[in-house]
Amino acid sequence: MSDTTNKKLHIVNIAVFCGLLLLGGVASLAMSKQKVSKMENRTLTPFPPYSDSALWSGKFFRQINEYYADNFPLRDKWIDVSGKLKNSLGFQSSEIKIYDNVNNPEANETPDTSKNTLIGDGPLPDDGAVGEKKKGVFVFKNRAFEMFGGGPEMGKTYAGVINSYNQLLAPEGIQVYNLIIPVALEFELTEKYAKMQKPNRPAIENIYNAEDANIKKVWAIDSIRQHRSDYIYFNTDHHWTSLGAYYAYKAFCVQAGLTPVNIDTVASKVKPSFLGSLYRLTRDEALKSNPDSVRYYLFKDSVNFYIGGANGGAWNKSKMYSEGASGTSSYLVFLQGDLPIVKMETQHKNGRRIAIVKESYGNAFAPFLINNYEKVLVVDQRYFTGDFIKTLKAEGINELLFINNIFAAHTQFHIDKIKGLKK
Amino acid sequence: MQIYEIFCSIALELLGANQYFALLKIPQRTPTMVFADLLFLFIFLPLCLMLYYSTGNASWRNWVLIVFSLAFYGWGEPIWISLLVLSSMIDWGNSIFIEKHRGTKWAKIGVTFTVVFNLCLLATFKYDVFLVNQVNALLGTHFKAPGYGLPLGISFYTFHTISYVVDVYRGDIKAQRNFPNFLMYVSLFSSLVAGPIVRYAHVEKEIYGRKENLRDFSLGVSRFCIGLFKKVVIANIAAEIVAKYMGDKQHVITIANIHALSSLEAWVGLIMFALQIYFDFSGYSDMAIGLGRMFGFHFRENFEYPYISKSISEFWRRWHISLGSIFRDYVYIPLGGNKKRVYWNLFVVWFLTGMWHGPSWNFIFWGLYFFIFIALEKAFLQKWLDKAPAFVAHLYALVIIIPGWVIFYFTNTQMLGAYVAKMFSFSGSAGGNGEVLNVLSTHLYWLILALVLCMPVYHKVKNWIDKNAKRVLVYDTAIVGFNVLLLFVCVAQLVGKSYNPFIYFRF
Repeated sequence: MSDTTNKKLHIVNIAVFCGLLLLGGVASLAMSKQKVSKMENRTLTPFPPYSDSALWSGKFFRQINEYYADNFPLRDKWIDVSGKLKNSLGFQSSEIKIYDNVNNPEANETPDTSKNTLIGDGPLPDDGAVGEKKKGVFVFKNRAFEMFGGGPEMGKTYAGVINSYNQLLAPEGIQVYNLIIPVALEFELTEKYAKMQKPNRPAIENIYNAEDANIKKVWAIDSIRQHRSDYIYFNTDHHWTSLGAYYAYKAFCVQAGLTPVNIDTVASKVKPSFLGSLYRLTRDEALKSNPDSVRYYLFKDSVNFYIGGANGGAWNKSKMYSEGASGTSSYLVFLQGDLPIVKMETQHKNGRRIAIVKESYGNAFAPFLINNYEKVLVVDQRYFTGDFIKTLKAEGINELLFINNIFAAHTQFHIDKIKGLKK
Repeated sequence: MQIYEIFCSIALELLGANQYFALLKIPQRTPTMVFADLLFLFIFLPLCLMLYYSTGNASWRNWVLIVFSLAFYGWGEPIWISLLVLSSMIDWGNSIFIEKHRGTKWAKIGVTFTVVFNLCLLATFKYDVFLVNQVNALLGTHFKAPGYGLPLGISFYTFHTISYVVDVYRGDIKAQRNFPNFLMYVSLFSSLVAGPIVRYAHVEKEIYGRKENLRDFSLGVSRFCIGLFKKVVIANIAAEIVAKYMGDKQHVITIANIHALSSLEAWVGLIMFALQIYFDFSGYSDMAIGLGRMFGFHFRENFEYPYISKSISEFWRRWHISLGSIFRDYVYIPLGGNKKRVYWNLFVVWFLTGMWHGPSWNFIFWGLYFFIFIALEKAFLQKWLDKAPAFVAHLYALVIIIPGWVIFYFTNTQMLGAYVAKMFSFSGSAGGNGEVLNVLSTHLYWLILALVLCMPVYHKVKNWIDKNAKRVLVYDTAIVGFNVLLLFVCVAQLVGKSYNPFIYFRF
């Protein structure tokens, strides 16, 4: 080969390389910037404001790097490519896939302050994510599952907190209930993958056994198991469906001595094409092809729904379902999402007034209770900052249900939050 | 005494030095400007290349490199630029002083000063906590270390300057009269932060008025793309798997997590770390060598497929070559080399080599671990290995090298002990091995590629093609497309890294 051809090729190589870098560079500066990423449910890193301290600590520069990466041209497309590359690194079994718990939903069930802690700059609020409760996301039969790995000690700590409420409130005539919600994988694991997570029933048993005898324990897991082939958990989201919650409600009614509403006689509406948290986490193609729908029930009984402030008090009338919720946020239809405290008042003047303490799983469950109770108070253990005990008394509450998914019941963050309600 | 202290504090206050020292204590974080970063690739590098090649003036080109190097260096913690410039200035002045007084005791004093000064920098900024802890443990005292953050690249640039001044003292090179030229050598961004340790003697002629040409530029581009790929696609993905089993800063693990591992998981974690550290470090060196070449420098190789070694001595001739050669030329040979007290000399070299890697005992143990095998090889093992079939020697080397990385990884000796126990207990775990087997199968093609890249396959293929001249055109054309592909994959990975979904955040 002649030297000139060689030289030409070198020029081409240099020109292509430098041209691409330059093109990317100019595009990155010229193209318009987005403020939020819908896909990720977060604000993108803004260009940092200058300050001397930020400059000298290096924070200023770090944020510029993050800003740059968050605003890179065609970012969504690149992320798609990156996801596809990741899936072609090895032999993809058509059956299963496992994703790491880099940024799992439960770990992010923390107040909105997390918006300041983007991309690893500083730790998230302590959530016990250290391998305590789960190992990752497991994709199996076009559905995504979280894997439970909680230890018995953590479960006992949870039980201890529930006991402390019982010991405080039982003498005041308040009946305490506890309902631990199993995770979807409990009902789907085949023998081959039996070891993928810890079985849920023994873990729930461990909690119930450590609880005071006068606490009423709801065996929702057994009730749900009877309907395991129904649409009880979402395919692409970590929550249960309202149908799953209904079976838990039926088990609750047994303990509470109530007659459950017959769901077949209740009208309902559906939010279609819901791609939930586990899809957003994994962006797995198999999940994309298997989207969910969110069904919510329109009970005959009328209900007055009120939203309280994070500190309690100041009730504002509103609606039990946020019918505007759609797409990736469809689960927010229930009780309008994770509000610190809400109250439902019904026509059943039977003197039964219940408070429930929950995380997001409780949202799909609580609406069923309006068929049986005069008043239902719903407190989110993570966000309510007011005086919980005082609120119970002020509202004349005589029953109290702690309803938590099995991860939350084995996570220090949630246990501390429940404990903290008491002040 | 009190008056003296008050005087000092007033003096420091007047100089504004208190704030300065306060800034030095900012804890070190991972550098924000690295080669494998979008901002570097799409803004810094093209801008630097454009300005560099905007004129043919050699001084201008060096100034461009100085300004960009300092910006690159200061991007993380700008405060440390002061230390870099100050230490360069002192060593530069000292080298001229030494040259002037060559052959007299002043030259000796000069060179001693430089060595002591640079070692003091290391002792103050890198080893302060470690040294103070050792003194406290030995004497039962309660001294408090100043706790400065570790300045970026200090381990590299102090070695740059020590080797330079010693070489001037020995008369191997002439002192650089022009300070900007010297600063350019010390601060050159391609090798400042993570090596290779470029010896002044090797680039002396290229410091001023080097001859850049298209061929070098083009080969530099190709080399850079390969390095980027090694870092972003091999090392970063290996790092994710390592973090799973061995933990890292973002994914902190406890002893209980180690106890919960199966032996297979422990081994997979460790082997992934062996891949991670090799591809990370050699990828970085490739990028440094490639960048250097784009600007007309010819740095020496820093890695020569270390995992194909047939002995530990050979491994260290193939791994981080620039560091090994520094210790050989400035410690081992001056101590007497092979001629007298060989084992003592080896001990000192491996103690220091270990210590260079970090201010913690595990690194020293790691160095001494290699000392043991190198000493054994020197005594008798090498002769056996020479006679043994090649695969036995390869196996021997890997069986020593790979478990060695566990010593390197854990700075906490308890965690180290637990991990080693787990590796050799050959036990399962409560969760079974389903998950780790899944990790292996979903990374299978990638793993095969990584293992192949540990061997000189690419080299052999290239040599074969070079001999078959007719195919060169095809090959060289393919290289252009290949570089684009590598760049594309790396950018996707780098952008993908910023994907960070927050499930519960409400707008």
